[in-house]
Amino acid sequence: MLDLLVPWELPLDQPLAGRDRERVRQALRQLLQALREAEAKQALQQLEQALAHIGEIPVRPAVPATTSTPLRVAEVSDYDRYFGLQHVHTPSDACCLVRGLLVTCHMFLTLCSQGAALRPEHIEQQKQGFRSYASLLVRVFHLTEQDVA
Amino acid sequence: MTTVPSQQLWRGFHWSFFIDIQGLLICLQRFEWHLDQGRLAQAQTELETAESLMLASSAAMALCGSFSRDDYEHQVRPSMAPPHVQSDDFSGLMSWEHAALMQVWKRMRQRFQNLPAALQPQHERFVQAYLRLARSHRDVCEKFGGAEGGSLRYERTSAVETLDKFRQNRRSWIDPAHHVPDEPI
Repeated sequence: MLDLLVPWELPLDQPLAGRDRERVRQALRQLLQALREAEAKQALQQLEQALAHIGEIPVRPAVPATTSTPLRVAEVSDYDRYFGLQHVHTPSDACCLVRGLLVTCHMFLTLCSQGAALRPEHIEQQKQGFRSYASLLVRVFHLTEQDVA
Repeated sequence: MTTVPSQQLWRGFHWSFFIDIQGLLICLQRFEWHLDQGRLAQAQTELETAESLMLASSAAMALCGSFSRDDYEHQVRPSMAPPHVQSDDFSGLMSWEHAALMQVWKRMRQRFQNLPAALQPQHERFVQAYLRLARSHRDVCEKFGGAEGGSLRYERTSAVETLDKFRQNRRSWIDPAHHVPDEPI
């Protein structure tokens, strides 16, 4: 299951402090390290360590009255169910967001390592996307590139 | 190496697509914020991120279709119809992330029309990345018979024609002045 924040409730600029800052910093550092690993096995281990470190995030399913888009709530629920998604509310947006990125990256690398005729340029392009997203979160949460190096 | 079931590839690589879209929602809204404040260097950074995430989305889309047409017709497509889903017109348009991004693009049309000159080169790269994404989607659709048959939602028009119309619409939001030449189909 992939937990996703409600699209209209994504943090855009959110300085962090204390435990959340350290959890997010460490998770992003480990994600970027995993993406540098040449071997899938090492990369997946890094991500599993990162997930263990960030821990479980308390979430509750979002039950919106409206999607604030042309979509009906029932359509979103149907789609989410098919793809194993859950839109959530949580007291820890930052950790939930980063955890979602880690879980997705783990799924991605797992699939890439299990065979199928996947084009290397597509794999690398998506990995670059994950790196860009991690750098974006560094900016959103007022970390620095040195914090996650 | 083992063979990964096509449904696992389809759903699993879609997660990458959803995360890419989530990232686009964040960086494009940050782009708007920096632009409104006159912070062009920061706006440039966010648009560079948007380009990267758009290219990643293109790759994720291609990876989602990394199995045979036979598997799509007999495994994946039937899984997106009742009783496996509730909707009898199940569609990628039902993604909340995607629908939200389309709202953001529509809202940004004026901004893209009036960009400062300093941001125009990066904007062109962003639009080119979108055209690559649209191409990637079309290629997957064609591979799975979309030039011959209708999409899940729009049965009367070929799926590829439907995607071409979407591309035109969306391109008009992110490149209203049509600075980037169209790719030949």
